[in-house]
Amino acid sequence: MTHADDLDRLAAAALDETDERVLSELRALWSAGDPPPGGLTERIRFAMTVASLEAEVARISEESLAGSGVRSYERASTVTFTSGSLSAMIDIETGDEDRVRVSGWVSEASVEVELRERHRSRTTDVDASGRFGFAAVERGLVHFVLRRTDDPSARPVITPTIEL
Amino acid sequence: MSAAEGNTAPLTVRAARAFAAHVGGDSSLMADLVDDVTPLLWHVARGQGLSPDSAEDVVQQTWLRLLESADRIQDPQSVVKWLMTTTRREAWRVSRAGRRVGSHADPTEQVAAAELS
Repeated sequence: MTHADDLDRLAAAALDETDERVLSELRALWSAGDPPPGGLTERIRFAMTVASLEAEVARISEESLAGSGVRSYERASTVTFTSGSLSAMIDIETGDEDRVRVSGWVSEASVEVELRERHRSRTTDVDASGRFGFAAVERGLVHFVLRRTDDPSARPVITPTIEL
Repeated sequence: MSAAEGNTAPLTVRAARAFAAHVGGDSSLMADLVDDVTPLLWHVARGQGLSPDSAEDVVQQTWLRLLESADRIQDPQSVVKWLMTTTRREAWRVSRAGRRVGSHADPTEQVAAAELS
């Protein structure tokens, strides 16, 4: 059998361990040489959420930090947001290692607050004085979505990504 | 089944499941879909010679277009192919519009250079 025959036979055969090893090395080479920028998928997910909700993105007007230093996301113990006539304050209380309690206040009383975690979301109404809370929230990247219940035509407001 | 299909089958199956759920009103798996497929789309865009900034824009646009086009994609199994084709087409359009962008550096040369230094 000639060398060319060997090549033809190998090319026609199913993927074997050697092929898989070569392919995974090629993948590693591409990933090492030109990785996607850090935070790219998080930015994309946020843009998709904003687009699908047709939401306004709130602006962070004030925050007090639990830690310090350079960070890619807002990591804070208290964050204040504004968007149009609506403002909201969110307070993050550290419980045990993995979970935190989030409490907050919204400037209007007829608002529904949605907490969007990676795989699930929870919704609560604010009380008469605009207060709300979520217990046992897993640490990670979250958004809050605020909807006015007294005006269904108002666009929802979404906060930038917050790291709990 | 071709070699290429065999190698990507788990990804396309995961993608089909996430996208079918999204069309059905449950978007909870879309975060995983974005994490799974974005690196692939990044390399598709970069392979067309786009700068990192342009590649990021193109990849993000592709995902936003998926939301708009969700009802026009008949077969969830084809969603990865749709994403790659949309990225390649848009990247090609952007790279033609901005010829000043240099060609994408060969990653083998970058790694070889790093190993030699």
